[in-house]
Amino acid sequence: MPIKGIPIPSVARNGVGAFVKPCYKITIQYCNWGGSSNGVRQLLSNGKLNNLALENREIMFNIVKQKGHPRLTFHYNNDSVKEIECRNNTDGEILKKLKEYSQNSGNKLFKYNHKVLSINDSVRGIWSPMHIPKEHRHKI
Amino acid sequence: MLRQVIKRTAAKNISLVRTSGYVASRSYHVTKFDSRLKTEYQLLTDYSSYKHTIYTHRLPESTAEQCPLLIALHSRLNLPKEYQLSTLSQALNMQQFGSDGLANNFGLSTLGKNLLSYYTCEYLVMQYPRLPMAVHNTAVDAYMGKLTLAEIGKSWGIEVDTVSKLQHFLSQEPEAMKYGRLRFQLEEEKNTVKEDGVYELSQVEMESVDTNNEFIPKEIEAYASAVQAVIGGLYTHVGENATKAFIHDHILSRKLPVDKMFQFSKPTRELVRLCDKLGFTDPVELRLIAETGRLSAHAVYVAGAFVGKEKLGEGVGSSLKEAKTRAVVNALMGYYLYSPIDQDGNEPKLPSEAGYVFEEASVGGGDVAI
Repeated sequence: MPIKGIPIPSVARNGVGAFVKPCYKITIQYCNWGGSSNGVRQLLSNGKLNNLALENREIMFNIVKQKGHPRLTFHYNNDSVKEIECRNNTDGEILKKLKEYSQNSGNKLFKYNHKVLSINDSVRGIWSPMHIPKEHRHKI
Repeated sequence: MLRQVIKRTAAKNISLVRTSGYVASRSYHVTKFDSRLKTEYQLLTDYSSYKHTIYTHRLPESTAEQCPLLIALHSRLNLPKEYQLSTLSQALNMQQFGSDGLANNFGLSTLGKNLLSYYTCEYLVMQYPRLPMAVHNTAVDAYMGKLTLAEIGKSWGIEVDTVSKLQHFLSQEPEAMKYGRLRFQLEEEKNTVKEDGVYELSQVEMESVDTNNEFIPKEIEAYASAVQAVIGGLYTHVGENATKAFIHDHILSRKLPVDKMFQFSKPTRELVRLCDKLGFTDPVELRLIAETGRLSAHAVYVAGAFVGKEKLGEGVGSSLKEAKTRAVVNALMGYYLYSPIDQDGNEPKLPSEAGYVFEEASVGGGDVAI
């Protein structure tokens, strides 16, 4: 055989063709008695959570009644799970957290000190000192 | 592993001894009686009276509508309204003749697989008409191989149904929830405790190990078949154009590192043969374009592959041999990865699109033999 193929998987580019929201499930755990769950209980009763769920139909909302402090759990499609404490928060603060983390990619946050992060090769190419005319080349 | 092999050979020997009495009936396509089909007959010899009495039905749409997982998946994939939730649920069912008697995704997944392979091949052939056969197959696999499809299935947020009937009952979970999960495990498998790490393959799993000693877990296969079945379901509900758009959006939009898929054994010989085939009269020559630090520890050479005055490829290396090989490989890649464009510089139209016109450039010259 002259040429063999090296099996390399293709790389996902979410948003180039279709966009699939990375956050697919949110679990809201609250207590029906404790004072730290006041905000969540308000959110459930005043219909704001219903509106959020209707706006984000691609996310499944799972409401769990359990004793203890309230907690938001976000499930992402890269197998990561983020657990957020929301004890003693008002309904507005919890709504803000829900919106923030439902738009998250699920990756860990990191600092990147360069201008571009890309999986593509540079369009310009890389400058080479060997391709300038011979008389202008640097001589050692 | 070795123990397994020994076990298997031992088992084979026994079966050989046992079947030696029935030489006439020994063949590899003996019909096996599948008790799950619940076959009934009036007379054993009257084959026309044979009937499978297994009862499979589709999930009622009203039950599927009660499953939030299905509704979420439907809108996450932006599926059209005509796409029924019961079809989506069927696409996630991989169980053969399961106890619940629901129709499985076998037909949908076969349909989806064929559509996928058609549109993937069409796209690849039009994009890279000169791709050698081996690399073309690898590229098709990179787009729609089981591992890739499983990755896509996971990114769609499909969950595996690992909850056994007992746990289901104890957690007071609504009945409809399980219809939105990927069902492929048997009830016994769900109850066994699994630990992470190394584990011994079962007899059934050992048989699925292929000749390259590669093993694809059942979960990966289930995810892949679910993705194929979702595509098949889209075709049955809304037809070909929407399915094609879906495949282009979800699968062909992925980045394909096709330039990393080539493994040359004798590149220089191949380039010479290729130039011969293309009818170039001048011989292939490898020339040194530039060099620096020949006597130092870190020399850099730039070599080029030329035919007459035309430069076919160029390569940089730390030795003359490396630079030469890179130049030759670069020239070969330049030929194989040629991608035709139309007069306006756009990608050419695909044969399945309206207004497609055949062009000579979209037909490759075939592989080179060395």
